[in-house]
Amino acid sequence: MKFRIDVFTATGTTPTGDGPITQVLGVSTSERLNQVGEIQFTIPASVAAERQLARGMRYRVYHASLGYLGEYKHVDSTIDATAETITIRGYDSLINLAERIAGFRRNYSAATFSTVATNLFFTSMGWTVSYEAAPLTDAITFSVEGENYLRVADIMRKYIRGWFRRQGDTEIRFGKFQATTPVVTFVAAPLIANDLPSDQALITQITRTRSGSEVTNHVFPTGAGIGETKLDLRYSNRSSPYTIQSTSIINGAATAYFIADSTSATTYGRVDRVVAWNEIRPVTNSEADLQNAANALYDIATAYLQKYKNENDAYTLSAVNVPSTLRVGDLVRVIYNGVAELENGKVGWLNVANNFYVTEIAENFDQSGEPQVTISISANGEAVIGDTEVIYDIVQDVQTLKLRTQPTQTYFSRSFDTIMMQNNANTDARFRVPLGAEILAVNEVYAEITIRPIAQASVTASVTVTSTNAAQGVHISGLSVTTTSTTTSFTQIDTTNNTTATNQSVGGHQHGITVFGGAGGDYVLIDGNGAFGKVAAENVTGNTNTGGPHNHTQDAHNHKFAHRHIIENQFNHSHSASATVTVAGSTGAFSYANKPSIRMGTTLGQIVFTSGSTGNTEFFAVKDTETAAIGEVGGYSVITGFIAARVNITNQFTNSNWRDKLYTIVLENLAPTNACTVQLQVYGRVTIQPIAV
Amino acid sequence: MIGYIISYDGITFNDGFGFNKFSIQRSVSPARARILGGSVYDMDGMYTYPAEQIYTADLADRNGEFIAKPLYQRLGQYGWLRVYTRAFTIGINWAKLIAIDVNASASEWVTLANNERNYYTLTFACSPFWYRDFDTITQINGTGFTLSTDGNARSTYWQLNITSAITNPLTIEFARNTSGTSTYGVAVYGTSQYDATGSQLITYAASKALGTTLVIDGRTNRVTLSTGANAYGNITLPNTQPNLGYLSPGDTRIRFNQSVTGTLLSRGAYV
Repeated sequence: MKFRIDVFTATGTTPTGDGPITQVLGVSTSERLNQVGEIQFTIPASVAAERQLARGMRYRVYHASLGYLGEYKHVDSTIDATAETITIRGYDSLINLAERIAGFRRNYSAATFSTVATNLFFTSMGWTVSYEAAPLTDAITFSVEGENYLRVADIMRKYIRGWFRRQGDTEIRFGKFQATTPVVTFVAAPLIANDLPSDQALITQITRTRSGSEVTNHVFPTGAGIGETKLDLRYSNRSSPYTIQSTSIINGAATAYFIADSTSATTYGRVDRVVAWNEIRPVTNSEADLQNAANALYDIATAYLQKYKNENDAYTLSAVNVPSTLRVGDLVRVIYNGVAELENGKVGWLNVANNFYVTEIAENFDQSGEPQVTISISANGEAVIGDTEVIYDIVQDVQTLKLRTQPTQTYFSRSFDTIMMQNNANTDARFRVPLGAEILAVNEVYAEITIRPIAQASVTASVTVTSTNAAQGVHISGLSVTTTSTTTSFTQIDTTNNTTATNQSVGGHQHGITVFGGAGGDYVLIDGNGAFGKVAAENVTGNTNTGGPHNHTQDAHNHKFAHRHIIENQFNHSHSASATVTVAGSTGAFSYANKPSIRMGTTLGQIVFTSGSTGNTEFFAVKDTETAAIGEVGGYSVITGFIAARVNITNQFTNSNWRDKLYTIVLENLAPTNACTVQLQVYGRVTIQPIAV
Repeated sequence: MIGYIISYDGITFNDGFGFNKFSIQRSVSPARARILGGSVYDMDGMYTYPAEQIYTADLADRNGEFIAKPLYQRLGQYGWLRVYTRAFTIGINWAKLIAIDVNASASEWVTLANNERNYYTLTFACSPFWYRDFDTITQINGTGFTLSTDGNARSTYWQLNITSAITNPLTIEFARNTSGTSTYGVAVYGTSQYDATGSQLITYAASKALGTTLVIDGRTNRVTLSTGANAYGNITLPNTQPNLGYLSPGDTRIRFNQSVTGTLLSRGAYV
């Protein structure tokens, strides 16, 4: 035998035991597209017992001419009837991806395929990611909620209508079914083996395993969600290569969206299929993310439709001279005309001349060490479902994690504190109303406004004040005038007769006098009666005093007087006064011209209350009005000045990106003649759906 | 192959025994050997066909000596089987005793009289490769030597013991000397009975101090130190090399990348 097997423990990095296992009696391997590969090898039972080979062990298998075949993980073992030999079965390294979950809430919205693959497989798992040609740049949208990495790889490859395979023990390769040149041609001509070209293999046996019965040409794709919450194509803006169509379901109450291939329908007749991809879900309820998710659903549905719109036969064939470089995912050509076993177990004639993709390569090494090769092929690259399909679909069904909670309708109400608005044109009242991201739809929303004008008088106030004089006694009102400066001019007494002012008829008093004079000016004369007068310029020319009236000439000089008025209050007394204020007009009706005129505005639009004058039963007309039949006309009470109105503001939330916003309702006083109080309440009915971001 | 059995797992069948015949019942068919491109059969010396080679030994016990009991004690077990044949005189094989057939009834065993013998047929299963019954010990001192090995098949019956200090890494190369002669005569197809591929290589990626012996056993495919520690984790083999190495019939050139001291124990192999 030509095999050498090194044994490792589950986490070991160096081989266990003193040496390799070389007593290998038989080996068979199976490499699969989009699935975990497998190995079975037979060794003496004594060797297995000596080595204590058990589940969890890893085997690195080498072949004398093929070299390193890969690392395989022990799954189970079977001992033969004579207990002489034991057959051990193992999975290739893709099983490591199936045994690790990729995480939770890892959301990718219109992300580049290669970036996502690197993030998931390289960054998180340390695996190398390679591609059939160049790194894939397709945009993909999906979320990870507990799936294992192998399942994620399957999701991603289905999204792009592609494939993945194990390229190395820690390398995964992605590709798309776009190859055009077959790497090998399988023929049935009776040629001598040594005469076969290197790119031709000789078919020794062929079986048709699937006859293309899975044609589908009308695909109804759905994403995550339950019932009416299920994601579908309604939010998608895609139109190529298939137009999104819709149809009513049976009861006509809802619309179903689908894409169809008309050519396939013409050839094979209409074949409907509903396909669910629960991995596709919007990251948030925003319009952009809903569209991204719907577009992702469209893309994967298109890939599915293109794969199944035509017949897709599958075959299994044995051949010799198969090049060892042939890998799953490669394109091969099969030319066969002869008898073959069919999928129903019968034997029939087959005429095959077509290209196929290799979905599985099984090699059975006999005791001579040479492989007998059996390959499985299919026209669309999808293999017939095998046992290992269940590896990542069993037990841990994580689909429930992807279901969106069914939305529910709920009533909401928000009341605000009463705000006073001044009789000022520049004042307004602002009320904040948030609408969160959890709101899926606004069914109806009302704003109910209550305005109460503050009562004001229509006439000015008048005041009458009567005073009571003191009956007796001089009183003192403090007055003091002092002049002490010799350089300062004397204050001239204002000759204005101030006696018209309130005179004090009781008691003597003094007045402050300022006397000034100077060269060229008149002189103050105080006559004997105490009256003031003025004296002309000097009339005394000399210094001789010979008698008779005469004047003295003197140098300019100041006279200094210090005096004060003293109002003596000989008797303690006080002045008192009383006043009566009368406001007229408080019992009268409000003037219509003075009522407030309120404008309601939001960030998206305005609703204006306009005033009218139709008598006492006036009301505020609103632009967005409800009919009187449902009693929503605002009323105006003449007596109390109460104004109430209810406004339907539902249509304010129909624009794009209305979710997750803070709205401001503004009430502005347009007629700033009356102050008022305003009270606002917002209520209505909305549909909410919690989202996981 | 016709001969006679000499011993099995310590039980000696000397000339005092009566009739003694050792013969082959089933062996590897040459047609099952891999055909290598140029129609050369591959009969490499590996321990792979324990159930393919079936031999029987027909013999009788000596007067008054009853050998059934020790034989039944070894039934189902492996042991070294020594036989004499014309092909290689005395050869040994790792064989399993799978059946014992006695031509006497149980009651007769007890009352066996002198000159009365029981006849036995022992059935053994083993690989198709027989080794010489003696070791060839070759002293090693230097970077290489050429070993001459008798036999007509590749032999994995060798054990390399290196006592000198080793500097990491140590490489050991086994190369079939193509200038040597094949000893199995002329095959029906082609001129060479054996696979003429290139050399085999062992790389030991660790250092070893003087005083500890590195033991590389080609027959059991084990690599250990004289301390008993497993040293196989330090071994690297080429991906297409299915074992630690083999000795070709005729001359085998053995080379090291550094001067080593030690011994090589080997035996030739026959089919």
